[in-house]
Amino acid sequence: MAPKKKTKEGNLQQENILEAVVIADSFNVRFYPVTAKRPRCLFPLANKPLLSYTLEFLARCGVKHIFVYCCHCAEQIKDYLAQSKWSKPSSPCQVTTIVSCDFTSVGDVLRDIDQKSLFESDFLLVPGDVVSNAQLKDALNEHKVRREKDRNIPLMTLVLHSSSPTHQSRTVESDIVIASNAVTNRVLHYHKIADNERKVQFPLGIFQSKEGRIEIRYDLSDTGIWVCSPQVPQLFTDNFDYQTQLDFIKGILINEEFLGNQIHMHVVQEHYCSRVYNFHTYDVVSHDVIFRWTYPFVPEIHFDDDYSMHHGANGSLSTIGYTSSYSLLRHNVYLHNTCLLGQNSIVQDNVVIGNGSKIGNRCYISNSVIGDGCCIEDDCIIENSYLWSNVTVKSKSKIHSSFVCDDVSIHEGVVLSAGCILCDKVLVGPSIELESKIIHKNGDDKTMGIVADKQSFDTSLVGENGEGYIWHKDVDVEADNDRALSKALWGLSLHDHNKQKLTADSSEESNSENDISSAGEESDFQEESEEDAFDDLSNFEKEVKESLQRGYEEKVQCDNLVLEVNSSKYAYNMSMRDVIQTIAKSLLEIAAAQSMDATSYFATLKEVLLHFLPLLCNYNKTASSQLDYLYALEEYAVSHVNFANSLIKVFMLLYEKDVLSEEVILHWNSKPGNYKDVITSQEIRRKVEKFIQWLVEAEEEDSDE
Amino acid sequence: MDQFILDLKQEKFNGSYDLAYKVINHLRKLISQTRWAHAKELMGVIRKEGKQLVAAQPSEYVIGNMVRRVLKIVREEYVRLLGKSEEFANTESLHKMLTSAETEDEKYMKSLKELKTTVMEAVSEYIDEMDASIHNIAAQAIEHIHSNEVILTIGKSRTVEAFLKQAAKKRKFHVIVVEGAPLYHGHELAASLAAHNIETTIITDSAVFAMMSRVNKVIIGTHSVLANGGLKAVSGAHIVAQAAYQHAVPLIVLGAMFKLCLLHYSDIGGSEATFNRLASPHRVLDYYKAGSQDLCNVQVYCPTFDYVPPELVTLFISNIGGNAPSYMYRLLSEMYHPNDHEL
Repeated sequence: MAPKKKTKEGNLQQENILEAVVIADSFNVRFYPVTAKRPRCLFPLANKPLLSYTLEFLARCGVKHIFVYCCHCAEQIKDYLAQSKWSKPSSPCQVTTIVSCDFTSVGDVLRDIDQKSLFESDFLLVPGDVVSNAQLKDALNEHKVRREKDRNIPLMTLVLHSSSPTHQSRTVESDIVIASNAVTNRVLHYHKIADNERKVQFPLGIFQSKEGRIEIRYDLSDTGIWVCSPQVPQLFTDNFDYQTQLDFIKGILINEEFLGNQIHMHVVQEHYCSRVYNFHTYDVVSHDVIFRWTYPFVPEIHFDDDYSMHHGANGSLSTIGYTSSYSLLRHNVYLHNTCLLGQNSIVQDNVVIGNGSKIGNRCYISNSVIGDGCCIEDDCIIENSYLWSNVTVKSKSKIHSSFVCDDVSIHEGVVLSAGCILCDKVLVGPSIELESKIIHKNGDDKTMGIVADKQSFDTSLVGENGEGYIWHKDVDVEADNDRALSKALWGLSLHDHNKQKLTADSSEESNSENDISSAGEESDFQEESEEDAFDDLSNFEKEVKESLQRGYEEKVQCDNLVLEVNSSKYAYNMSMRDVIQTIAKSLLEIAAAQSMDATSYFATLKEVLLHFLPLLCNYNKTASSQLDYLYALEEYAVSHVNFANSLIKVFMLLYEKDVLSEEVILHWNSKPGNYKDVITSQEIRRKVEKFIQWLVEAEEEDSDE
Repeated sequence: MDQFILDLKQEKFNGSYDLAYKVINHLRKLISQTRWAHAKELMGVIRKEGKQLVAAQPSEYVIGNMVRRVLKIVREEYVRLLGKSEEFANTESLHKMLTSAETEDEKYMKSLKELKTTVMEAVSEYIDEMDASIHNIAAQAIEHIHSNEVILTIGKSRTVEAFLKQAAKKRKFHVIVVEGAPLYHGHELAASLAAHNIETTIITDSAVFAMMSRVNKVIIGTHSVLANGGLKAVSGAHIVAQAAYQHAVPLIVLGAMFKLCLLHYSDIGGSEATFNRLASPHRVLDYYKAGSQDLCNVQVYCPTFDYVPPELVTLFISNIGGNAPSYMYRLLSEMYHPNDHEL
């Protein structure tokens, strides 16, 4: 409650005080497992916490009061802010932290803002991972002018950054197309391009307005910075379902006509503005900092004065705090005053070496950032990598394109390459090669057991003295739902990704069927449905089985059951093939559950099948669906010997009742599937041999006549 | 107070004159607002603040100059109030050290009531002197620019602009302005001079050597003057100076006395960070293009300053008159006290 009062007083005193909300949580797990114990906004970027770049940027824009919303690892963020210059009386702006673990999305944060009614005038909404040297003065003024002209209609201004379509900083996650009015900068359509999308459709209406030229731009990337009017949090409260910024923008644009709200945009052209939202952008933004695009936020300019994790003596801070401790050498090499370089070590271009780090003899370092207190022994090679604080690298190791977090030890002769990620406190080596592996050591991980004793580490993977587990992306169920994205975890820009996609597509035609047939919002549903396809199938199976079970027990008419199955089919958007397979499986499972022993199995099964005969006939009208049904039976049979033994009788029954035709059975027989469990498909064929023979003979007889 | 440091960091100042003015006003406020018993304590306060100011913008030497200048004023006023000659405060002979009654600790320890007012007066006087510096420099224009001469300059310096405009009141001459890529401040100067009815030509940086043969004098401004007489000037100044030297064209440098600093080039040679200011490369190459696939491995630099060695400079014109670069050491010893060289 305290912050609320303060702001209100502030507003009374000074009408034009500029305030900002920093969302110091990403509400996603792009950096997992690195983010397990450390929030993204405290990642060191060129040895300074990411959040300090964001706050400094806001202070430079003249923001006087910043609210930092923290959620994940809130304590760490609070501690950082408490000891940083931002909480000192000399701080250029007031920083208030708001902590709650209940927030699960940006929407929750904004609803909280509304509840607390923090703002009565325009404010900035900024993600906690923005690195920028832009001046938002223009954006704020434009917004203000628009608001004065038309009270309440212009809702907010999106701050976008222009970058060429092949730009390194663009990734699949931020691939957007925007249609806007070229004169008023009003956003008419905002579309986030899904991974495999080839076509983008725009609503016709936007071209029919008489307001002047329409621009469709693919050279913009979203910085996540919003200039919001006070109505924005209210709209989030009114619409409980808005979770992300994207939901909100779409919602506003769709409902524009009857809500009358408009979104505008401001394009930052001259200045730098980027976000760190995955490993690739971390790489790109780190380089941009080293290449000085973010000037004056570069390592040797001491903007983040008093914060340093490993400074012990606090008495000396007042003098040390203001002296710039990095010196810039040629070719963008930044060396801390206290770092030590061994003899014949070569520090090539674009390197940052942090406080108190020691580099041994004959090392070669290029395009890398080495954190505070690292110890690198003789003859190491480090290229395109990021080493955080207190990393120990023993002699003759090679680290290429990797990401090494705090307190990691790398033993002799270890080779890391192509996007390895070593999380906090991992040990690897000696003499092991790792490629594209993510190794973590989260002791409290439930699947791994509570005590991390040495026996449980797989020494073939992490080396004899290694301590750590390989992390598999699939383990994480709620994680990156987009498969392609997790592939692009490291070192793939949009351009690379597109290249890869093109080669993949040419070999795999089936993808092209996914044409998006309608306007923007539907395509996104499709995207979601693909992501959840697996879940849907299991849910569907469950539902169908339940309705069939109930149908059998209560002797419901098959016509009604068909209706029920069909409605489930449409609810989960299942193909016919899935339906047939599910029904086949469900019936067999029901029968198996009913029967007590092997001898009475067929009797029960027969009863079940006869009851559902109309249903089976209904679904197995065509040859292809009958074939699907047969394969489903086969799949079930390979894992259930009981059923396999009575399969011949089942075939006979189904043939007699005209569920299966003889051509289909013969066709099935000629093409065995690749199922293999308790018994193989071949054995199944042998079990029904007699029946097949009988069928063939019967056919011959027919033809004889 | 800290707002000022923040402003410095954010480069909220308009040229070195403005910066010097802001710093000295800041220090004047400090002298009047802080509590101090005697000169030594005051000097301690100024030093401490000075260190922070210098660290906020290490590449702006003017800040350090102003701090040292104020320290020198405090020393002078203290000695004057004690009734000794100014000479006494400055020179530090072995004989005096041995015969002096007061030890180093006791020095400047006497509390003098009038010190505050006299120091404030002296600082205000110095500010007035600074105010007049551009005017004083411009007043010398007639002596240096003659009729129908061709003058070459680079970038935009307020002092040069005032100098040329002053000369144009009496004489007719032609100015060639080098545009000074990538910042192109030369364009602004050219527009301003042309509006003042001075015949002006603008050329690209690469055309300097070709044009030099018809130039009579090169007049440039500078960011600061180093102790050896070398210059820290806008990038491109070194080419201009070299070309002028090759064609035996005199190079005249304009700069107020407060730009004169104690640093030698060798002091800062190793660390580019404090000497040069490598700005964001976006003026050289747009980030829009620079990050694209083809260009992402290209390194782009945008240095702001050039070092011009003293042997290329013919004359240094300050508000107190013209001097050769070799005379700088003498001016320095008059301006700053040797004990303040190290802040």
